[in-house]
Amino acid sequence: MGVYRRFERSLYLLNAGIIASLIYIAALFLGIAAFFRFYWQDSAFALTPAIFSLTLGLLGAKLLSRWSKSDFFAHLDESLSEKTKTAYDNRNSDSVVMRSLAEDVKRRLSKVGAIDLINNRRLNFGDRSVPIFQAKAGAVILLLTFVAVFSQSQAGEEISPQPFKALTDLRDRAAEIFGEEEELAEDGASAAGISSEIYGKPSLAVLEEVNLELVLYPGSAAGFRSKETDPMDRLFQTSEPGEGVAVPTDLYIESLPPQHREIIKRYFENLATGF
Amino acid sequence: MRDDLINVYKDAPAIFETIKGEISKVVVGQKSVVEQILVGILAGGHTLLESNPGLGKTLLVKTIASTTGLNFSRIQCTPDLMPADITGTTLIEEVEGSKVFRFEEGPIFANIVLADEINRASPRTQSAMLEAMQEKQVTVGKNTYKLEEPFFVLATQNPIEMEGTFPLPEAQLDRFLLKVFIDYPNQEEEYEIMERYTGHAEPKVERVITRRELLSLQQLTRDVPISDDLKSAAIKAVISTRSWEGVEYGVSPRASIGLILASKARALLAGRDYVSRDDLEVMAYPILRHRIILTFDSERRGVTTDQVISDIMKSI
Repeated sequence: MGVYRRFERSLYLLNAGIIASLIYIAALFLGIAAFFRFYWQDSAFALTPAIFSLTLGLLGAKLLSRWSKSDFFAHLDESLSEKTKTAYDNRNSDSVVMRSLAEDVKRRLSKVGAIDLINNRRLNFGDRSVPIFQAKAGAVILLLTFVAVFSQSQAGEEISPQPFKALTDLRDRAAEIFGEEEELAEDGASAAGISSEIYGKPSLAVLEEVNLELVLYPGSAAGFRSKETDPMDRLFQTSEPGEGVAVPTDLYIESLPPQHREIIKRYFENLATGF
Repeated sequence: MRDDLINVYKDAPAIFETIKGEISKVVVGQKSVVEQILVGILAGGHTLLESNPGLGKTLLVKTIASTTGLNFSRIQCTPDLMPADITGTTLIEEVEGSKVFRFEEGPIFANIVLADEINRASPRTQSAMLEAMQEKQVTVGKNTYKLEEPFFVLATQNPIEMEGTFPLPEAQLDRFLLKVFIDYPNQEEEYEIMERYTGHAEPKVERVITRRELLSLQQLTRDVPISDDLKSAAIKAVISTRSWEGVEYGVSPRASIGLILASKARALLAGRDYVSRDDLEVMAYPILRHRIILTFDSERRGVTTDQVISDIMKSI
């Protein structure tokens, strides 16, 4: 039975890997992963799509294994299958007939090998001799490689909020539905969880027994995001060439006070002759 | 008691083979009918046998009763049969110069009661049997008398000659665990019947099972395990009858109990220690057929309850 359990566990993990990878790839294509990375880039919240995909993968694999477990008894021959199923369902009851059944099932199951309990269809694809186990392992490797390559190519891209418009609208609508009173700021400040109401509102801090008033201005803290604007017209306009006109200026000496003109004149003359 | 059960369980296949052997000394063929009556006995239920006249209903019941060490009584039902003729009556007796009341038990006070042509009894008399069949007790005046276990009513009726009959009401039909049809014998069986009953020697059966053994077998029947899948299938079949096209009224929960019990009994009779899907499918017919009431339109189109049951069993 140990071999059978190991086989089941490995299949369960492979199935979980395949389902999780497929869900994560879908999230990548839909831009959900990029959306989380954009708004929560420095937070563990950015890993939400990956964690969600993994959880769904494990749940899906669990459902698959439950479904295939119900088929466990069908691998045995018809009479033993019915016997074993009945004995299993009535394992908590004790009677003369039940004891006889349990003994018989135990005796007959001891002759059944672990490999007989594994449905051949779960080893190979139909009549083709393609082993499912190896094929699933290959699929997991392939999908994970694809995820890695695709994520890497997306990481280098410049991300703008435009692709997430639908998601942002959805988020805004959700906020309205759940009664958030605050209106979302157009500059995207609310995306970081900051309300626009706090801007310009004085707060008080006490530093060495002195009350200090602190004022927070819009754009001065986290939550400042880029915003798409209309393109500006930056064309140069040519103008008519102007006519050059010489304008005579006043002499320096005339700008001096009359009583000091003589002394300043001598100063410069002496300076020129080197005293 | 547990040792008794173990011993009876070990001997069960031999006991059943002997019973079938003894019955086959008298009754030619009809193996599935014999099997279904034995199922009824093991499940502790009552059986209604229906066939055209002359097919050996009464002979069959008498033979089965003869193979057991049980008290057997026969009631020939007629329109003038009174309830007291079945349950018994209180008589005044003179004991040592004084008069005392004494209850004289009727034919219902037996282990196996053959109610021959039950549909000829008046509704009043038929209903007198209801309490006995369901409660396994009889109330006369202010006194209630318990019937001895095991207690079975094996009733017969024939589907023709409906003049002067009182068809059993649904409530009373529901009290029968099984309704078994007896069909005409085939050519070989007919020849064998002719050979056997035109000579001098009348075939005789021997008692092969005691009351104690039969009670143990009834207990063992209830112990036969059944898988959850089959329980679900039985419930699904029963519930399907309530919304099936062409069915006016579906079956009651008594049918699901009966279906499981009868399947267990068939498994024990076959020497199996578990109920198989085959048991459920075979027993669905005698358990459900008298409990399903078809719509007028279905009856007009000639649809039978067996056809409906067949469709239901295929769908689950």
